[in-house]
This record gives sequence, C-alpha cells and structure tokens, in this order.
Amino acid sequence: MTRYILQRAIAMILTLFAISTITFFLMHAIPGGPFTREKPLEPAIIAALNEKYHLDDPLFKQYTDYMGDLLRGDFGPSFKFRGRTVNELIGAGFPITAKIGILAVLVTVILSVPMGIISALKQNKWQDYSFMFLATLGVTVPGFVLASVLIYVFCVKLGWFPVIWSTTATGWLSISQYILPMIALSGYSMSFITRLMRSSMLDVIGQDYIRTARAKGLSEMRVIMEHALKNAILPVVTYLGPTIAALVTGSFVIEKMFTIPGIGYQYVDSIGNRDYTMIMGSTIFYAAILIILNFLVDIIYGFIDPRIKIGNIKEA
Amino acid sequence: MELNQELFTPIQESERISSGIVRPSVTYWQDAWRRFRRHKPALIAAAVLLVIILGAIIIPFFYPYTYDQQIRTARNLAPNLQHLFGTDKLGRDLFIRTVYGARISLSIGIVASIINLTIGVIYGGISGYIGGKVDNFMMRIVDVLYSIPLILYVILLKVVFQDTIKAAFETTFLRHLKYLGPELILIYVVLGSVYWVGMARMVRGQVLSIKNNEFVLAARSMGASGWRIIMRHLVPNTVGQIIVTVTMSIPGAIFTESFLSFIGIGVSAPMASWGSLASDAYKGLASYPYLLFFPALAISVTVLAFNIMGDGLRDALDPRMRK
Amino acid sequence: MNGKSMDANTPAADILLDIRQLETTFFTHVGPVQAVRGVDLKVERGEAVGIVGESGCGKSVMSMSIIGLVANPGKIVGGQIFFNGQDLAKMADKDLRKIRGNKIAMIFQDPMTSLNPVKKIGGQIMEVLHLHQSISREDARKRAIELLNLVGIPSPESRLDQYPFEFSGGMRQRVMIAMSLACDPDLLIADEPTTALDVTIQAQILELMSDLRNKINSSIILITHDLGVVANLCDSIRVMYAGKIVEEGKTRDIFYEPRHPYTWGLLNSIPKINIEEKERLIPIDGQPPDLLKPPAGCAFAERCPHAMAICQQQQPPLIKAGQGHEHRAACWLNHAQAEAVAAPLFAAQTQQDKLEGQA
Repeated sequence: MTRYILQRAIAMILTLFAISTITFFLMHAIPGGPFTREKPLEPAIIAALNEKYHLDDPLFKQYTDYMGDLLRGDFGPSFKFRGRTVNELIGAGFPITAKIGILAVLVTVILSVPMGIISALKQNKWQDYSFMFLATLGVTVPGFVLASVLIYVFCVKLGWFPVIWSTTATGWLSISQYILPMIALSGYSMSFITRLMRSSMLDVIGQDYIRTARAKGLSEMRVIMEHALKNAILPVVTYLGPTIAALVTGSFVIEKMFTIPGIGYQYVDSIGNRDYTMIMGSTIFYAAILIILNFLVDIIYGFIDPRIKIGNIKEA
Repeated sequence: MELNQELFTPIQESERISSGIVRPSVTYWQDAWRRFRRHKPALIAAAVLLVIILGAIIIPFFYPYTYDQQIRTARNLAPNLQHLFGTDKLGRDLFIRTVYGARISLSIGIVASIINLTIGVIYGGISGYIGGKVDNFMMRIVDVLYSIPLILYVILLKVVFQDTIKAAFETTFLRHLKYLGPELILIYVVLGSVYWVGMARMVRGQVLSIKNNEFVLAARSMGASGWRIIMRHLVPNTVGQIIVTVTMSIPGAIFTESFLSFIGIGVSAPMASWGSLASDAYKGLASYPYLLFFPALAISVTVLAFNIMGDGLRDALDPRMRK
Repeated sequence: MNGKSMDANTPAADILLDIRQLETTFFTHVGPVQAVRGVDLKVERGEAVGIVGESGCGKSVMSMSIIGLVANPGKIVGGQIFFNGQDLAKMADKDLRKIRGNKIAMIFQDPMTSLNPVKKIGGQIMEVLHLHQSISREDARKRAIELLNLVGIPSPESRLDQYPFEFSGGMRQRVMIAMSLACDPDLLIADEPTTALDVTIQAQILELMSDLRNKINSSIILITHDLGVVANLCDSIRVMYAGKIVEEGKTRDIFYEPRHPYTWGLLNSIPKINIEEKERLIPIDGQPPDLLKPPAGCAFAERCPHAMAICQQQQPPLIKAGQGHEHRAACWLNHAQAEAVAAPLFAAQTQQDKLEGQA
C-alpha cells in the first residue's frame, strides 16, 4: 500500500513539473511578446515593461525564477489587470467554479449510480431502454448544445431562471443561478457514469462468485447488495477521480454561456487578452487540480480494493 | 418386449442420418463483414454517415448559394422553402453553411484522427517491438501525458502558433493549400499531435500481445513462414482494433473542435465549422433558435452515428466473439 | 405448498434424492434447446454418485436444476425432484433458498473465480452459517476455523481474515469445500471440482474428498468429464449423453463391463502411459447432436459403429445390462433380440489398469 502511494506521488510530482515546464516554454514561444497589441506601443514603454517583468533576462533565468515562484505558490502578476496578481484572480474565480462543480458531482453520483444499477438489473426492459436512451444522448450531445437548450427553455421561454450571472443576488435568485449550469455541467458525466455502472454491474452479475452466493441460499437482494455491488462499484470509483476533477474545474463553455465569473471564463478571457502570466497560471492551476484530485481518488481507491490495500502477496 | 426383428439389423453407412452441418470456414474479413451486416443500428449509422459525407462533397456544386454569400434582402429568415435552414443576420443561407460546416468538421475529425493514428502507430509500434527498458521509458512518458488535461495544450498550441503559421502561409509552399487556410491546417496539426496517446497505448498493447501470442507460436510450429504469420495472423487482429479506435476517435475530434470554435479558439469567420456556426448563433438564441438548432443537430447526429458504427465495428471485428 | 410426497412403493434403501423424468429446456432466441431430456436419478443417503459426460451433455444443467438455479432463459419444464419428501421442482424460490447452502450444497468448477474477491473468506464462510442457523458471531467463527482445519488449511485463525487472492487455486477450492460443508448438508453436489486445477492439486483435492467421505454423512454427486476422477471416489456412476443418462450402475460394473458404445468410447479415449508400443489415440468420431432439434431415436446413433435400424427410430429405454444388480444401459444392443456385440478389447484392458491402480 505504501508502495502504491509512493508510486502515485512520484508520478504526480513529475507530471506537475513537466506541465509547468512545457507551459512555460510554450508561452515564451509566442512571437511578439506579451505587449504586442493592435496599436504598437512606444519602444520606451515596451522597454520599461520588459524590465519590470524581467522579460529581458535570459530565458533560462526566467524559467528558474518562475519555477521558484511556483514552488512558493506565486503565479506572478497579471499582465492585463495591472496591480492584481494571478493568484488573486484565480482566488476570486475558483470558488464559484468549484461550488458549481461540487454540486454537479453530488447530483451525478446520487443519480447515476442507482440509474446504472437499475438499468443492469432490468436489462432490456423499459427502464433499461429509457435510461440508456438518455445516457446515449448525454454522451453524444455536446455540452454547449445541452446548455443552449436549457437556457432556451428555462430562461428565455419559461423565465424561471436568470440568464446573466449576478454576484450580488440574494435568496432564491442566488441559489437558482446554480441550477442550470450544474445540470448542463453534469450532463456528460452523469451519462457516462450511468453507462459505466450498468456495464460493470452486468459484468459482475455474470461472474462465478455470484453463482456461488446464490447457491449458498442468499436472497437476490443480498446477492446484489452484498456481493455484486461491492465489486461493480470499483470501476466507477476509479472513474470518479477524473470526473470530480473535470467537474470541479468547470467548463469554459458553460461559464461563457451563463456568464459565470469562474476560472474557465477567466482563462478564455486571458487568452483573448494575451495575459500571459494569467494563461500560464491558469493552465498550471487547472492541471494541478486535476492531477492532485486524481491522486487523492487513487489513494481512496487503494483503501477500498483489498487487492491493493494488502498488496499482491505472491500466492503460496 | 417383443419387437419387429428387422429393426435389429445394423444400418449401412448410406442410411445413416446425420444431423448438423459443419460450418464452412470463412476468412476473418468475410466473417467480420457478415457480422457487421447483422448489426442493424450500425448499418443505419453507416448509411447516415455516408449520406452526410456525400452530401458535404456534392451539394455545394448544385446549390444556388455559397457559404459566404450575403443576401441583403434575406436577413434573419426562419426556415422556408428557399432557405431550408433559414438565414443568419448577414443574409447567409444556413443550410449551405451547415453543409460547408460538414466539410470542415468532418475533415478535421478524419485528418486529426489519421495524424493521431500515424504518430500513435509509430510510437506504440516501436515501443512494443523493442520492448524492455526502452518500452518502459516510452510508456512512462505516455502515462505522464495521459494525466495531463490535453485540451489546455490544444488551446495553447493554437494560440502559440497562430501567427507563425499565418506567416509561413504567405511565404512557403503552404500557399497552395490556400483553400484550407492556415487556421484549419493548424487545427489539423494541433489536434493530431496532441491526442495520439491513446492510440499509442493500444498499438503497443497489440504488438506486445502478438509478439507473445500463442497462435503465432502455433503457426510457427506448423511451419508457417514469418511473412505468412504476419499477414494471416498479426495483421487482421491489429488492423481490426486500429479501425475501431480510429472510428471512435473521429467523433472525439469533431466534438473537441466544435467546443474550441464555440469559445472562439477554433476556425474563424467567414469559414464555418459547426462549432463556430453554433457560436455565432448563440448570441441570437432567444430570437432565432433555429440558427443554433441545425448545427447542433448536425454535430449530435454525426457524433452519434460514428459512435454507433464504431460499436458495430468493434463487435464485428472482435475475433473472440464469433459464435 | 410443497410437492407431492413420495409414493408408497419406494425400495427399502434410504433414498435421499429421487429425480424422476427431469426435463430442462433453454428458451433461446433461436428456439428451445432441450438440455435435459428426461433424467431419472436416485441417490441414497451416504452414497457417492459420479456423473460422467462430455461438455454440453447436460450434467451441469441437471445439477443446477436440482437447486433451482438454472440460468435464464432456462426452465424446468417437466419431471419431479424429490428431496426429503418434497418436490423441489415445484417449490417457490424462497423455500428453495432455505435448502440451498443448507441441506444441499454445491461447489463449482473454477476456484479462482468462485469466491468474492473483495470479501474476506472468513466472512464468506460465516455468511452461510448466519444465514441458515441462529448462531452467535463467536460460535460462527469457531465453526469456520473448525471447517478450515477439516479441509486441511494451515493456521486457520489468521487465514480467516484473508482475501481470496491470498490463496492458491487448490487452497481456494478447499475453502469452497469448507464453505459448502458449513451447515452439514445432506447432499453435496460437486460440479467439476478438479477440472480447473493442476494434476497434482487435483490429486490432493480428490484425496481430501475421499477423506471427508469418512467423516461426514453427506451424499455426494460428483460431476466430471474425467473417468479417472470417479473411479476412486464414487460408489455408482451415471454416464450422460445429450441430456439423458445412457448407462448407470455400480462403479465396478461400469469399468469392468460397460454396456453402451458411448461408454466404450469414453474408456477407449483415455491415453495410457504404461503401454509398450505407440498407439493412436482413439477419439469418438463425430459430434453430439444439436439439442435444438434432437433426433427421434438414440442420440448417439449417428456416431455409433454398431447402430441398427431401430436405433435411428426409437429411443432405447434403460435396459438391464451385464451381471451387475443395478446395471442398466440405454442401448438396443442390450435388448434380447439384438445380436451380441462384445466390448472392444481396449476397454477390457482399461479395466485391468483401473483394477491395478485401485489395488
């Protein structure tokens, strides 16, 4: 078990390192530098800016400086919004994105797991067909289409929910803002996990040990809950890692459509603004969250699956 | 119990009733084709895709409007007989724009997947074939790449190389690809060079399993030469898997491109992929929902069709599933 | 509620299980496949019966039918299964559940996949105990340790808390056996218990089962395709082919004096190690019939070198054969009007080997 954790931890650190490095060098490969605008600035101003941001330094020194800052958690100043650091901006945006993301995770797990199980138990009956139909739609219809449909139906036509995000809203208004984005966000993962749970369940039910459990005289309910479920849930837990990470970091598209001031929105914005430190910082932040969350879920999985918890002792 | 004594005479070989026919042996491809034919949804999906692809190629030649033709008098029209999908705020016919969008989106899906395939096959093939420490190292790199959110790098790469490629276009041979445009080429390259990781893993797995596979040993022990082994045994198995993986990666590429275009980082005006059509349409969603509906429908149907066809292919080409 | 009780003219021996004309059919999308086509089987208390036949002959389906676990789309369509005075074929599932694992226990072929990988084996054994008996946790634990000892697993106290992947194949099969014996079943059905194991482990498990026979009171039904396995362990044998029993009798009778061409074929096809010259293996030509459309006559007729006209027209009943007291074969060759056909010499030699092996 410790070996498992150690392996994962090392992989995580290596990956984070690789990401920071690649991102850094990519950003510095953009021709023209960060201050190229439609209207060229005066050379003197450019020189001053370059000096201020140490863009004159040799590339390798910039790299080591940057990496040093990263280790201390400092993403540097924003190039676009003078006087604000990338840390601040991300700090403002991330909580909003994360809130929606966590809600989406909860809804996904609470709904998809039972749907998948029911689908498997009632294979080829109407419950199965209807759930699978919805799930197939969910994985093939792009997120922005789902969001558009939701917005069109519920905001434009029915007027139940606000279209524009407001940070000062109170009461129902402040809660109601979360609902549609959360649904739009979880569309894909819900569908995927439902399908995964169903196929995992079907797989497990066909296994020999289920036959053994039945031959022992257990009721079908016991067989499913005690024996089948514990095994079938494992692949779903594995997939939960990437799912949580993806949901918590939100979706650029959804944030754009619902005008949510989260990190996705900021990221897309910063690309348009050529705010280089922001782009770098966001990219690394995104990647880091994903990787760390995956790591944590891997660890939890290790505790659930006894084959990993105890390790593969060579058979006697 | 007394029975008719005649019944106890032994029967001749010619009188023997035998039941059951021995199945005729077929080649792998014949068997796969037969199995695919039986999978109705996959057949329908394949037909739909065929219609879409043919339509994308042929329709622009016959259609009265072009994708960038602005008709001042026909702005913001709902779908009617003249303009099947309606028109946008500049008076451009949406149907033909969607058809052109098919060309763009489909070509992105296919070209990107082929580039993925090439890189993946080379990387995975080498890694699997050499094996040992080299393989280990190469796969570690793949593991690291796998855990990175690649979409970020697609965006970054596009942003980084946008200007360079525009410049390159003016000056080098790429000029001749003017029809496609620098942006499109960039998308082909970027999507193709980032998502090869899954393919590499799969190919390497195939190569490894074949290297050690029992039926290769069996074929060898029956005296089959190396070449025969490769053609009759290695290739069908691997190629089958590769076909399935490529088919399944096309909708992914289409999806990703439409996503990128939607947030403004894909192809730009006046060229229209389905994603950018949807992006433009979003602004006027409340008043002109059909502008979004048709491109969205196009994406969904195409992606769904590829997925279903891929499922059918997978079932047909999996040698273990022969009943 | 329960089925009819047994009729008055049952023989004096204590019959535990009395299967009469059992028919089980699978209703597949290509049509109904008759897996079990009229099987009669009696098992006495304390008896070990071997059921031998090739894959697809219906032996597993028959055993699953006994405890009512035939997989969808299979169903029992005819016959009766009398056990302790009740007809299991007509019983509701909730009543059958009280018998499964309790009065009738079953062990399966592949020990590697027959245990729940994420549950400790102690838990899996105790589960059966708690299900069928009101027993305290400590007592259940003690009983589980006792059982592990019985099947020869060392340091059972610590082994109880381990997971299946920490055991080898042979050990897992021992655990399966322990689990099945937990509630002192009247009948133990072992479906190919050694098929998936190495030959050396196979021998160990068979020895264990032989050993256990002396210690427990259960009857055993041992299902296998391997004649060697039944030779040592079983009192009587049933040979199954295409969903029916084609020969039955005491073990000695079947090996010394087989009276069905299929049995001859089975005995013939065992490779021999201690033969002087090299001999060809003699398989049985042809394949079993399609049970979707079973033949009208004897199912073995199309492969049988001794087939007669009647064989293709009428199915032979079980006819008294040979010297043995309960020896019967479903073969027209045993009818008084048929020309006598001697068993092939090979088979006779096999009997000699078996005799020597058993000595």
